Amino acid sequence: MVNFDIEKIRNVAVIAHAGAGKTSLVEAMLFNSKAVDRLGKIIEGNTTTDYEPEEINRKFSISSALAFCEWNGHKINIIDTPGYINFLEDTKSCLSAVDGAVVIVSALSGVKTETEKVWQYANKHELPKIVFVNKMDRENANFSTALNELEKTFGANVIPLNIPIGSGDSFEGVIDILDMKAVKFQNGNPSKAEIPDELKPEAEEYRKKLVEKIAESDDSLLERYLEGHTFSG
Amino acid sequence: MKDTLRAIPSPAEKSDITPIKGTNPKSKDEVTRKPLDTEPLSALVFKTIADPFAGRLTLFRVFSGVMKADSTVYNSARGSKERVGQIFYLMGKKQVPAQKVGPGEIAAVAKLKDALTGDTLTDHDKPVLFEPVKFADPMISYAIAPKSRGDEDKVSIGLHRMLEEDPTLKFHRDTETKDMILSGMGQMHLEITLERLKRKFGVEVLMKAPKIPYKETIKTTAKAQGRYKRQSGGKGQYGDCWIEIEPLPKGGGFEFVDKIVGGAIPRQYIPAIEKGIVEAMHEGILAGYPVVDLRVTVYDGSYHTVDSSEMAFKIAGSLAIKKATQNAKLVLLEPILKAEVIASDEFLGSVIGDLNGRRGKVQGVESQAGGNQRITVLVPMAEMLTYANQLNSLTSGRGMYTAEFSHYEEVPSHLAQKIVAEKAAAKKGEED
Repeated sequence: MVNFDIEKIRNVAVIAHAGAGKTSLVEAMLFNSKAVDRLGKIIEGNTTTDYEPEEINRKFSISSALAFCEWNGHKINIIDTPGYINFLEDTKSCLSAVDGAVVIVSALSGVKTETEKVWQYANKHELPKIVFVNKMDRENANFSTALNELEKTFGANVIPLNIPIGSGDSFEGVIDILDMKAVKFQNGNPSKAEIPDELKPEAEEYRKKLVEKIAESDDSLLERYLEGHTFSG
Repeated sequence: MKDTLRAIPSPAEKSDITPIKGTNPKSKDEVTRKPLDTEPLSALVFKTIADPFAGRLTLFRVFSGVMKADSTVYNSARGSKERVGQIFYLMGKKQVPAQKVGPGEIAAVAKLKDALTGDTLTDHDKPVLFEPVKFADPMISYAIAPKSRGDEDKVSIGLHRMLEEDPTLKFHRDTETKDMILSGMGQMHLEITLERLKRKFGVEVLMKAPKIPYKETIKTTAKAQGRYKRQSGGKGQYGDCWIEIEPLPKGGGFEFVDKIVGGAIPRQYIPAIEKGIVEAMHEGILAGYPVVDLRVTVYDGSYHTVDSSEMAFKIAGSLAIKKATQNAKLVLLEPILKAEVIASDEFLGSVIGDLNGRRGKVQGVESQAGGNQRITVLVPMAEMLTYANQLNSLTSGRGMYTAEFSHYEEVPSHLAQKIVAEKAAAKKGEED
């Protein structure tokens, strides 16, 4: 195993309430980056990070687990954490080892008590967070409800980087707000696509919000923004 | 993935946001480290995995310097040297050997001697100590017993190994009833712990009655003398102190004030008195629960130039606190949980009715997406031990709840009497 330069290392913990899809997301990250050659499933009890018999039987993580993958010349160390309330102290400890957190929110159930708890733990370590809205392909999935709850609970600094195209059965892919590009999924394989016309105004709206927010947080960027430049991701 | 790279800082960038800070364990000075290869080693242990065969696996994050395989590092939390053998990257349970890991990396090392979660591994000559994560106190306790008699030692050995990997687990023997008590964050936590104990250490354990972590406190002030005297030929024992105790607000813990003037008790014996008091307070005289939320002031006493000793004053302190608490209206405190119950509209009435019957105080009801109601309630832990089953039957299995410790409150007197009587009976049964 080669050693990576510190600039090319990312350490993230995946945190959320139980059943949000942390272990599955970690598995997908490992599979898509070819760190594992088979996409494990919770239901089949063969995921990389839930390997204890007690976890496999219950279909939820009890203990945090470590994995890593390579992506675009970077090494990402990922800690899959438990979300069940009895085991959140383990999650708390893991957050002292990472530089950022991926918070999963389910598009079905939104922000839960445990979500708030793990968010607060992450704040304690001043960890930047990105939120992953999961289960968009399920019936009754609702992106805007989840987003509203996030804003209501954690303040207006929650800004989408991607918005979904469709939901439930009609969920097709996402729009990258920074690059203003769409990605559609077919049988799990991503392909570049044009932003659907009906979603263009929404995407523009979110991009404006995002750019304003970035500009607000950095004076030099604000100046550029006021001079009429746009940013690139 | 792309967003992870974009939005999450590298370890170097993160150290600009939150500088890597610790203290020098010897001088207590603040130490700042840079995430560079050339800096002295500093690594934080954030997890420990116990394995009955492979030994202990210690997961660490390197903040500065380099951790090398086959080297010696200093554990600044324990003050001991640790022999580092093989180092691994972990992919789930799979181990990928590494020769060295640099700053910003996360890896694991097997078979460290002393290291536990929260410790700092560092350079012996340039040590640093990071502040360990503080873990919550256990929420729930059960008396446990091995299925087959004679397995007590196996249970004890196995559980002590599991305590190493799980800082939220506590295990002790009740000095009064001699029960083995296992404490953890919830019923699920304890069940899984025992399941693992069976799988990893081959011993089956049954959960008996749950134990509520009651506490005792005082309602009024009181004064008392504690005098320990054994002076019958040869070197004797003499310690004598007067103390006053007064209640502190809830959560006030324990305060010790030394108001001895004019050398009524020599300086060197004061810590011994405090020690005697603290030890005696582990088991209150009401029902043997820890005594909390009080201030103890030692204000007078006497000593003997030859016979006084630390031991004598320690005993005097414990005698004094026992006498004082007797006169200070001891009451029982019970843990109150803040629970959130989620149930759909149709079951709301019966769920709230049931919670009221459990001495619950409903704080609020909020409607949620999908016709669900979120009930926030403060309810004594003693009433919630079998709540999961009750909620299931009330809501046809569709209700959910989470609970966390909120605070301690006085137990209503008629219930307190019952608890005291039960504890006395259990103690008597043990002695018979």
